[in-house]
Amino acid sequence: MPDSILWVSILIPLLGAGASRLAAPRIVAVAASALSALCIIACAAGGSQQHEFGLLSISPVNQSALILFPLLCTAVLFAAPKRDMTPAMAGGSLTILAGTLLAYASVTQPVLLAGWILSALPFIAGPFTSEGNWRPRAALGLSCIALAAAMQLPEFPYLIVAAIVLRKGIFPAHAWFDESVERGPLLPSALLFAGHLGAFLRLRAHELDDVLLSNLALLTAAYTAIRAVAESRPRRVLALISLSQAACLLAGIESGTVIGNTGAMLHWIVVSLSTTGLFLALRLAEVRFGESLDTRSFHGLAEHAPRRAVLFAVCGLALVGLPGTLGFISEDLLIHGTLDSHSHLSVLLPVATALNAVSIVRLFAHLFLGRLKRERSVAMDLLPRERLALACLAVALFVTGIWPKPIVDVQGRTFEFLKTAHTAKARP
Amino acid sequence: MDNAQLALLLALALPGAAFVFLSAAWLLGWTPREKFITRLTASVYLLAFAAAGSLGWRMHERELASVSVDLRGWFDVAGYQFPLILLVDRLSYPLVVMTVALTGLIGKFSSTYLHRDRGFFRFYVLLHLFAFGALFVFCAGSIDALVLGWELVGITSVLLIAFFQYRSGPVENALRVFAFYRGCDIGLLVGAALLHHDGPPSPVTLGLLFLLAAAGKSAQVPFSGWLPRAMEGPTPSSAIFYGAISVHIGAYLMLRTRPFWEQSVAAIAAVAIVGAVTAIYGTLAGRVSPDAKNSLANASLAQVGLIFVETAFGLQTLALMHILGHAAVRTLQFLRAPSALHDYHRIHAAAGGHLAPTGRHVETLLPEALRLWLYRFALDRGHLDTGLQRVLITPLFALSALLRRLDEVGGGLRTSRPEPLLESRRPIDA
Repeated sequence: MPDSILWVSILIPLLGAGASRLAAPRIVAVAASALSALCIIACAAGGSQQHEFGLLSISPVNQSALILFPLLCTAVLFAAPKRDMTPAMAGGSLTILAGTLLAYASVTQPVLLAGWILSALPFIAGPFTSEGNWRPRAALGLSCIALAAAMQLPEFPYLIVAAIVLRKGIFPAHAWFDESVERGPLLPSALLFAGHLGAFLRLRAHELDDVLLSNLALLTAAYTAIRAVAESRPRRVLALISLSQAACLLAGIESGTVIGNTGAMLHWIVVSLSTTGLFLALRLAEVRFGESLDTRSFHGLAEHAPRRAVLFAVCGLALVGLPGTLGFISEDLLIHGTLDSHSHLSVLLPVATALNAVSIVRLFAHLFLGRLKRERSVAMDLLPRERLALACLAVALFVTGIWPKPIVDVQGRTFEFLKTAHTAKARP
Repeated sequence: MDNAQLALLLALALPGAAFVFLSAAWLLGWTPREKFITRLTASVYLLAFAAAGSLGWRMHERELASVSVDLRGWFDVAGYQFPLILLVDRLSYPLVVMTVALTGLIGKFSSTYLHRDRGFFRFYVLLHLFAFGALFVFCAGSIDALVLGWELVGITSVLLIAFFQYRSGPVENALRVFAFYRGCDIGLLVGAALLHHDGPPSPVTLGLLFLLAAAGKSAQVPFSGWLPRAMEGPTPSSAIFYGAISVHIGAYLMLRTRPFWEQSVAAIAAVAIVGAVTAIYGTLAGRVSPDAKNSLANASLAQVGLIFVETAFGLQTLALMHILGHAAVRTLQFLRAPSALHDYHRIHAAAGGHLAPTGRHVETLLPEALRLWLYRFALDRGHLDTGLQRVLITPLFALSALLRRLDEVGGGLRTSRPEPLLESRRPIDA
């Protein structure tokens, strides 16, 4: 019974992707993603042991991600602006959801590859491609090829590294994500990013002992943070900050320490919640106030949208370690963990976080502070559904930040589980 | 938990609870009226003051050197436990009382000063959050816990500088201040992390890291350029932040962490030199300041510089007394700043119209060329802003622009307008 429920949680979004073309896309999409989340919660409710259901499993490694991702999708699809909620958008987003869940829950490599490809399909050959926007297609396509090749040629571990680098947007393959965000659909790009499949693959490939990937992750964190400093386009600023913080996540996994690993798992949650909130708030601002927003002048949007401004600020500051949020705890653990393993390079991590904090506050200030320009028409603040979705994200960040013990304990078991799995595999 | 510990918790928790209550109320759609806010604020700080007083009485009665509350179990990972410990001792207790008292006074003052200002509610929310953060810094029993309060003080400071958000000047200045804060906070974060690691870090490393953080928060040279910019905020926030509490937090950090770096002559010398140079710089800059608040800000700098020197030489009691006295006097001066001209005329008249400008006799000892050079030097605020712009900000922006060009190579990214996939770009959504 549990195995069929897990399969159902993956099939529902796929069915929803088709059904969204026939009926109200928002209702179908939200229902599908919410049902998927409920099914996974029901499966995971049995405890933190590994449960294998044929080709799928739930374990301490994927449990949080399996629960979190469909909830994030539900929030995004619920709050997305009306103009974005077309059948194509709903279908594409649900395909990303199904593919990501399949990858998370996979036991065997072919299933993992199937999920990897399915989640990227809307951007490779689906509704989210656009003419001239070749980088996302190329990066995601190449990552699928690299992963497939790695499974056929296990004696070449650098193929897995290539798949991770391409998918995750690690230097030098980082530019595709901010191009996707800038020129493509914002919310589906955010969902694809929030899946962190590159990091998940790194967790799964625990036999990969690669200094190159860890150094590239720290370099990416610094590179994209510096890149964001002088960027004037809000979408790109958010994309670059997200890439930087996500690279910190990978650095934590690469640290090989319990503290670093736990920090990374917590940071995964922080980055997913915060970036989703930020991208959602930005898209809602674009839709209300026009897409000519940039950071070369002050737009004063807080005058008419104070709650949007506050929730944007909360999500942004949580991403860079605001005390009282889970971001503070994850940053603390990441710094401790990486100091142990990369004593000199690890100083890049707080430097990158400091630069990201400045960039996010600069973006906030230019979007929301200052005097509202006369040519902008008066627009309302968040609609109730938008407020509910953003508030849930912000509350989640605060509640886990003030009372972190349960979630820290859950994430702390990941490292032990991985170590045990690695030892079991190594035994003849 | 005994009464002293309860009193400590209460003094700390009350401002935090007020912040949470007001924020939650606003997010749920209710903005309390001015009368409610001012009564709530008065009640909170009266109770907090009573709690602080009770704490002090218990410490005195039982001859306790310190009172601590170990909030263990916040979280732990593989033996690393975040040390969420609250501690009040003879160093921090006076500062706790000062924070509670001055914040309550500022709250009372602001009820009139900011009456009918559209940012009234926002000011009080940030004031409570600031008080909570500052109390957390002074009550922190570990460096990690101190970081928590430190960050909150920084955020609230920046948001209050940008209080008059409808003008671009305050917002730009707030951004600059935030950049200073975050850059310097790296010292505190790395120093706090190093303390947990195997192999004790060298005293000089720790000393310099903490000095970086403290110099940023207390606007010591070479980071003094942000303090005049911070005067954009409303006068009550300038008083509480840059007269009383926030500007002294860096000095408190050096006092509190002294046992980590006092064995290092290099660290002691660095702290003393930074403090001394700042004292001289603040004196010079204050003499050419055209307005009252800037003049007071520079005077604060000079005094905090002297506090750093006292700390470096181990004169901890003197440094503490200096902080308390300076905070009280400077808060009064800041609050009177809008009436500075009126005060000046009153004093001038009381002195029979012959009020001698201070320091003129020292100036006459200096050669004319040197006086002119010092005047230009002080007017440009020691070229600190120019120096930081040239050494740090411009290269950073240039590097960012270069990286952007590298990213754009072959990517066709020169088109800046995004192509939304789904809909036309109507500015208003239903």
